[in-house]
Amino acid sequence: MTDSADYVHWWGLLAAPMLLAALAYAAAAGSAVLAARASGAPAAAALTAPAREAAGLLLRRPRTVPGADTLLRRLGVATVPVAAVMAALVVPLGGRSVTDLSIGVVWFNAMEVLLWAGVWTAGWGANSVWGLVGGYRFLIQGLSYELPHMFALTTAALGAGSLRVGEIAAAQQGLWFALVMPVAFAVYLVSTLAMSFWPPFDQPLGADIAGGAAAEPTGADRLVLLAGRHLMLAAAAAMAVPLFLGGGSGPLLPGWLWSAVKAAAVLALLVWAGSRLPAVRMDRFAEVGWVVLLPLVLLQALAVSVFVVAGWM
Amino acid sequence: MDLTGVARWLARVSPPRPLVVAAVGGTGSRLAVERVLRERGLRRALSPGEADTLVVCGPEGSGVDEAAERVWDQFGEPRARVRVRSAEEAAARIDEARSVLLDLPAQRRSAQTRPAAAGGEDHAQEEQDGQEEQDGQDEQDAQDGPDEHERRGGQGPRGSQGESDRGGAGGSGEDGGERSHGDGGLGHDGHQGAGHHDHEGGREGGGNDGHQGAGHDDHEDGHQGGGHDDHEGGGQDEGGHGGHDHGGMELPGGMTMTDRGDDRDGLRLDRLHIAIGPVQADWPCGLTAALTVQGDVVQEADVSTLPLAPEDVAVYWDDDAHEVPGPAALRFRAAAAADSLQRFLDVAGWPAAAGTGRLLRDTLLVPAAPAAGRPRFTRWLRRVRGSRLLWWSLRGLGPAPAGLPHDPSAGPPERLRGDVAARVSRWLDEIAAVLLPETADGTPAPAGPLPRLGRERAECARAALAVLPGMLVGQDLAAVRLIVASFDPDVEALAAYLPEAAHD
Amino acid sequence: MDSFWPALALFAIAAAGVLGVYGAAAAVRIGGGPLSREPYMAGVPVTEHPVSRFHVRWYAVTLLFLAFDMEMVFMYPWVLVVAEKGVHAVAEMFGFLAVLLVAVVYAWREGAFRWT
Repeated sequence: MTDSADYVHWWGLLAAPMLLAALAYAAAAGSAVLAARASGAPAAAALTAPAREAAGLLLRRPRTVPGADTLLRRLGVATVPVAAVMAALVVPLGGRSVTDLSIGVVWFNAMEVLLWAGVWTAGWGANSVWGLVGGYRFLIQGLSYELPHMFALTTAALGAGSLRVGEIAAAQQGLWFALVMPVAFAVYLVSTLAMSFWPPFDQPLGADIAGGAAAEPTGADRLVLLAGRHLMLAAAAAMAVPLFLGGGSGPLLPGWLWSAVKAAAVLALLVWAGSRLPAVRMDRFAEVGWVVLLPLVLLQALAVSVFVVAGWM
Repeated sequence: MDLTGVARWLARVSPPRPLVVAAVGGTGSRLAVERVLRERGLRRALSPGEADTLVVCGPEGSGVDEAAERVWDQFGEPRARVRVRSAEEAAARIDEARSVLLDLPAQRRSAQTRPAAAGGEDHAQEEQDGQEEQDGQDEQDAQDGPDEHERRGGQGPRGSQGESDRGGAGGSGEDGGERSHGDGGLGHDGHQGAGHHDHEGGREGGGNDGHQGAGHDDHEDGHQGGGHDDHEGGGQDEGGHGGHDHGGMELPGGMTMTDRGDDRDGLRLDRLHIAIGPVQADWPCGLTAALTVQGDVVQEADVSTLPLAPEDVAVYWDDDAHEVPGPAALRFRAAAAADSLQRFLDVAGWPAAAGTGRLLRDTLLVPAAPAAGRPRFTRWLRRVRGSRLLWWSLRGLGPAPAGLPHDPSAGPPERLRGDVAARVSRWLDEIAAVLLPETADGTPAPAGPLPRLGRERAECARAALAVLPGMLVGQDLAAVRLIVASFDPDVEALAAYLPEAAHD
Repeated sequence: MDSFWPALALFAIAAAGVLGVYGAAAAVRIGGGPLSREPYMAGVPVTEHPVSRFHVRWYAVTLLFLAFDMEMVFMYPWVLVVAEKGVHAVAEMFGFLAVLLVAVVYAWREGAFRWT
């Protein structure tokens, strides 16, 4: 435990949201480019598509539905990006995070769970049947991925014997956890897609229910909701780096650059998976989450705890 | 700071987001519009909240116009609306829409002059007043104190119940916790108005289906006047409650709260009446599915087509020149299959594959463009066919019944047999026959002329409309969309070839 | 003891960002007040408020999740002491998890995960 573990990097208060926003934009642009290439449209123009769509959203006149709970809806929508940024509190860039809480892993988990309330409230508050159905779809998705996700986090923390993200990254100097506990890494990646309702887990915003929780929000509300979704994906992808990919370690390049490169690589993988797979419907796949993923990650945790007890880690 | 300049710049850089509505007879223009959108990299919108342009494809006079008008009203500024009557004018119309969107002063004027609330004020109980007036009741909205309730409670719904009973019953019917939320008694149907807190209030038997539950429900049902015709009920339920303080929640927008009905386990649950179509993304044109859902499970379904005014509906997927079997006919059929498939893939949540499907469809519709052997399409075909996730999630979904409702001995046409996966596989096979002619399976080409594609599609549409209502009951909304997308009834062909069936 | 002031500060910054987006939209958007219209229902008039009791058919999964979630409360601190407590800690925790897994298997066989 280095003394920098207690140090608060106050400059990170501005740097973290900005870096997160940059990653989020990269995810949006990446998925736009993939969509453009798939449908034969010019791909270069797709790089600026998310920014241009955001510009258009700022111009829209706000809409409400009679009987909608506007305050609740706004709070729900705003929770999504705020929780994502808060989750990035403990994500380090080359060994330095805004603050390296001693319970950083638990903090990350807690912030991500706030999204459940946010998305459901955004759907409910809009007083539209599509939002309602979308919000509940997100809840069952959450129930199915959350336990495997928590166990994946726990397994990584187990490997380092600490809940401090900096220490987990530091404990991987010998061998990345992605190689030691591949099942946990795979489960973490799957849960990342689910937690940020990114395709293939985007049934909460599904096209079959006219956009789901994103059917009614217009203009700034919609921008905040979708930006929050991209921010959460970016935060979770960035978190995979210290948990499973050794943090900023690597030859030649400085730590922060390695962190950024690894986070971008994870993000690219997630964005590619989003365009490559059809949507997962929870009425078929909740079973898989509980009966396949959960025992697998539990076995992984057992294996890792045996390693820890035997002194190999 | 000159914000109008900023706004102008923002408007200039932002891409339009069109909501595409296909009217019956407008398939040709819809295909052209989708092609233009695809080439320009514009994405279609799924709802009016997302969209800023309404593109209506097809001739006037079909029932879609009224629905499109209502959706148009739900657009927020900046907004533009165009009608594309033929394929040639698609690009021009979309450019026209764009210039309307860029005219910010006109958009601002339109925003100022439009009423902010549909049909009057927003939170006013005046809306309920309108309804009340019908019943002659006027203090509906008095969400003022308990005495008001008592008084109103006294009047009760069209005098069918004893006021005091109601008051008492209302009181006893509540769980203690809920009363404070003044179920705003929007009483439109005697449904507990007041928003979402009071459903627990437990009363309100689902008046509509007359499930006058046993026992203590009776007096409550009595309130509702035992039936949903009793819309006056203003406030019965609040009768006895204090808190009519939910002023703003009283029947805003003139909508009622949901009533209840039995589900398969005998629970009394709220039922919503929703509709899918006619203005819906990735939905067959001219089709409407009126569903009664509990949660997201369909309890009742009614699938119908809109009344069709145009006498001679132009059927796009029905070309005389391609009746003779040959590569051109197969290509045309493959294009039709690709059109259905891309809609299905969008509904199945795979927009990237749907995009390539649209590209394939557009390529197949141009006779000179090469399609077979292009690696992009063969890769796409391989991916869709080999996607275990897709097929596993479709397994066993939506098996077509063995007999048609009106004719149990006859089954649905060959194309519609099987479950969703089987129907989608047939489309993929038709496409594969064109893309990979050397690997086409050994079935010999049909001897003689192929059946007219239009008639075949009309028969399939008629069978689909017959079996769909029964198939949709008990499915959840995602399954409903997938099942309808796997049938993809061609309402145009139905109107042209079997007009009597279209008007059922 | 951790200091959570940075968390509060980051929250303030994130909230300021969100408010900034709303403010920017308020500044440039086409005005006229919020448009109040029925929710989108495919062009068909909406007859009821959609906010209603939603029949959540997967409620059994909720209960199962709660049970496991209570167990996770123990898992996080357990991670910190496994190395020193040794086999004893591992055996206890995984015994506990095995019992919970039996509950999951039971729920699975009872069809809690198939609700259509």
